[in-house]
Amino acid sequence: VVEQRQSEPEPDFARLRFFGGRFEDHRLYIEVLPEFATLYAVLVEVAKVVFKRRHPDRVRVPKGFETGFGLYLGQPEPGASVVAPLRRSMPVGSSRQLGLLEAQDELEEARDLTFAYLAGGPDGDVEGFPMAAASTVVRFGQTLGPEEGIDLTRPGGRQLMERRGERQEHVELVGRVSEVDNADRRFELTLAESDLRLRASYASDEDFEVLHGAQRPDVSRGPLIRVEGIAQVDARGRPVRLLATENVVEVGTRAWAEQRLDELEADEDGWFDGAGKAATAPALTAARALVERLEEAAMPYPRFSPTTEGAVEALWEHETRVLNLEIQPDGRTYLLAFDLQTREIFHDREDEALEMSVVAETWRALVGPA
Amino acid sequence: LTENELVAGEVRIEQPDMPLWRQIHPRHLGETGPDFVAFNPTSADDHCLSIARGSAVDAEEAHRRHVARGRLSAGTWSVTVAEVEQQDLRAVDDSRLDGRPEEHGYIDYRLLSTRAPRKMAAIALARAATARGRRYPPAAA
Repeated sequence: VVEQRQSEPEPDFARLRFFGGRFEDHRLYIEVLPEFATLYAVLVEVAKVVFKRRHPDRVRVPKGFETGFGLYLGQPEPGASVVAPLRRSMPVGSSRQLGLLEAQDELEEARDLTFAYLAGGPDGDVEGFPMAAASTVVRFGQTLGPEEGIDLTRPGGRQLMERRGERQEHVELVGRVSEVDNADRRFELTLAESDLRLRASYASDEDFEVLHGAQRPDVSRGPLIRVEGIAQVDARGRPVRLLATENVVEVGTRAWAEQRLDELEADEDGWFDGAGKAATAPALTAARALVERLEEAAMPYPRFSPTTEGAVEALWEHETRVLNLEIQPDGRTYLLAFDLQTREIFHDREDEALEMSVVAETWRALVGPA
Repeated sequence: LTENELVAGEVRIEQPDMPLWRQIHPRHLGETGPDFVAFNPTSADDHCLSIARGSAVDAEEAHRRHVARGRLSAGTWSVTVAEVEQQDLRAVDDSRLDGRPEEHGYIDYRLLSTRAPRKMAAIALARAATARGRRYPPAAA
């Protein structure tokens, strides 16, 4: 994308003006270059959809479609901010490039749709903008600071949108599914904590399966869903808009338990504010063996939690009855079963290794037959 | 341990309704509230669980000071002194000791001598904190 070409500049395809903050000193810093790659990825994605709409008889886009737009970054212009023109080299000559000629209009329409979508924000409905591209387009502007912005203009000088830096964070949200729209690839999550409703696009067919399966006529009776993604947050760090989803899982399922163990496995020593040992391999191996055998034992999946000593704790709760399996760093286990209200302890024993039959029997004794 | 075994400068907190603020590390935040691990001090902590006293700071200030020290927190949760004592534990103000922040205190798990009652207490306190909900930031935007 970034390329310096001939002395006679071709017409601008679009102009990006970076302003405020770091751009006051007229420099285009390397850390904002991902904005161009993001924009290009969105344009290609949208242009492919536009092409298929215009050519319903064509199964595929032309060969070279994704890489052949010839879009490049012109010489940044001096000024109070940084203006970066995007230009196109027009295809001439070869048959391969002739095939791309027909794609040029699609690229312009993709530009207009994308800019309009950005101007309206992720909740804005822009007719013709493919929602499948929404999870990519929201990344545009993520390198900006709170005092910085990009405005985009197309030939003719008409400003299409202005994107200011927002505070965005990676979040893990928990809620219930209140709506799923397969046609639009969107869903609505009602947060368990606040009843706030957040709408977002989902990323994959697998996500749809999870969301659709968790939808209930009475939202409050649906299972909890954990959504990881990028959210716009307020000054206190609370999500106000879910911009992109990266992972969707139903709480209490095997996938949920396994993802949790994946998270613990990814931790390194020092994960707890510089202290804290990462969960050890023997502890994680035993925890995964436990997950492997829970369905057969007719037991629910527990909540796993790391200790700062490298152990993994598993906790099952059923009303006032509690079962806790501590998998120690060396793989030995400590099983504790009790009633929180009466304080009666039913089981309190350490074993050399995971004894699945003991865990299952203790659970059954604790809560009654499955 | 007995009351006399608190070190000089430490004071048992007597007000039953006083909130004790606990910052929850993001790794210890479950889908419905804090994991009990967040209320279960280890031997490395000398079985003392750090809290900020509600008499010294509010939930927001407790959070602000915690993260200002370079630590992660998913928010402030709380238990009360009464809830602590229901578990046969005690809350202690140790802010007069050298190097302690002015709002500091701890929940003293040393009163429970074995692993089972300590875990039971931690699970009970995590449940109490979960039932009360996050105190800062407040849930509703």
